[in-house]
Amino acid sequence: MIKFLDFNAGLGVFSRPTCYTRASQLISLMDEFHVEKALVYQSLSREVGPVEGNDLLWQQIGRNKRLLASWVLLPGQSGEYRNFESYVREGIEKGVRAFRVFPSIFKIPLSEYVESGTFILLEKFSLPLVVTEGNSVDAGDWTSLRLLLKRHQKLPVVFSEFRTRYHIRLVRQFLLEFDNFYFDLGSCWNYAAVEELVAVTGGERLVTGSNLPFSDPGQSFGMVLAARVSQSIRKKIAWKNAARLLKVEKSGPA
Amino acid sequence: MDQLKKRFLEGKPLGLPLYDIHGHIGGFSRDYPIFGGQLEELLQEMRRIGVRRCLVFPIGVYGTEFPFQNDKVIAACKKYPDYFSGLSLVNLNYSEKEIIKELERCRQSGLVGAKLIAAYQGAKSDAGQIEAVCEYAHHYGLIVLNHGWPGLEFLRKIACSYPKGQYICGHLWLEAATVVNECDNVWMCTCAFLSPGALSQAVATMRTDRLCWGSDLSDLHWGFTLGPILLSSLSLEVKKKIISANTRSLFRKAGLEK
Repeated sequence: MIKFLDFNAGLGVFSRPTCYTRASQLISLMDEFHVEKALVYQSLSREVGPVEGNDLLWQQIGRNKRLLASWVLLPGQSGEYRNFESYVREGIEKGVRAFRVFPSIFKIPLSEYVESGTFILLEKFSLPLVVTEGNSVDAGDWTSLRLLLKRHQKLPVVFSEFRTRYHIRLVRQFLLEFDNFYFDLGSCWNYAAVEELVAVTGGERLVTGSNLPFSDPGQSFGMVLAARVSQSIRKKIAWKNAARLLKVEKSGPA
Repeated sequence: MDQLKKRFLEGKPLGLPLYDIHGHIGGFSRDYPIFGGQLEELLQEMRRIGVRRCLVFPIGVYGTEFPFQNDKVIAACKKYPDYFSGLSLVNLNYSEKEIIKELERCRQSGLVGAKLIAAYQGAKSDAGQIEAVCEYAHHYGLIVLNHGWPGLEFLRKIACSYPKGQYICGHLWLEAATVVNECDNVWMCTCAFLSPGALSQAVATMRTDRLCWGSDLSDLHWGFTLGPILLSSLSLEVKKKIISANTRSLFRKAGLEK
């Protein structure tokens, strides 16, 4: 039976009402949808300020081993950090499994993150970077993504957004072109998209995220379960690829 | 865990015939490449998933070359009458006279109703032509699926004024619960996008014999619309009604199934 590692879930009180706010409530939902672990970010990190939100994330996760922390970053010279490098190192030492940026939400082009050296340390530590375009359809900045992938070829970059519709053509192209490009399948609802991207990648570099608390998680997980692929490929997408990226080797506590 | 959820998680066939209230065919779209979107490929997938019959209309909903696109639906329904029942795509930018002429052509070629989608055609959602389409549907006992009805009062008026037509809300519309509950000829597709809890709210507020699974093939992935039903904590009885019995009941009403 398939178990999931959810690559995209939020925690905390968002600006609009959501179906849960606390970690314990998220865990209940995870149980319902066969999610064993989730990579989570904090609501403040997405909607107000990453520094404060990242800090609050630790408090809200507490000792729960099923929730894996992802910190949201702004560019290193944005004015929010006393010492950006120390800040990133602190996160890594605390156990952050991945970093995340929301370029369109903070209205900072992804290329500016790249040019200002924001991701140098991440690449050094081989920690995945999730580029999330939160609120709209086909919001990816593909020129900047190309720059990022070329500049940091050892940095695994996971692209995730609310909905990839027209841009599936670009996702397909980037998966063929860049070995460090990963895709959150929960972003693309298109017919047979899972099957096509599996044909392109052999099932590698594909993960799945629920987009909780904004989307019914059955939608993204259902695509993996219903796809015309083998059960072993489903397990790769549901768990193994994400576990490898986040250094969660086995099913069980982190 | 119920048997449907267990089978779904195990990657096994669901073990019951599915009836699908919302599907597109045509193979090509401006918005994205339709992988595996040719008719025989779709049919093969329907068999794999266990879909017994699907209500289909053109994927090119913008209305360009609508006669050409309707012809493709007509051909598919003639070739595979046991699997496809077709609706004619209405282009609401055209006059009432031209719309009815196309509906008549399609009806005589075997299609069983009309698909409306004003928003994608840059037409008004309360365009006057819509009522003419529904009057036509009433006259011949046809099905009308609307991507988005312009309002509750409009839908109630249509359902009451033209009672021999069957009217489908193409995407889950929670606010329409009262109309669904009042009118025997209004059906609600569970098709996406769904926020968490939307489906359970629909089940709690609407008569559960009118909630019908729509895959939105070949626009959406099968799992995107099946997952929220099958993985949910809804009762097994309700799940079976949504993915199978309810749409079958509509198809029987419309004379498409025995």
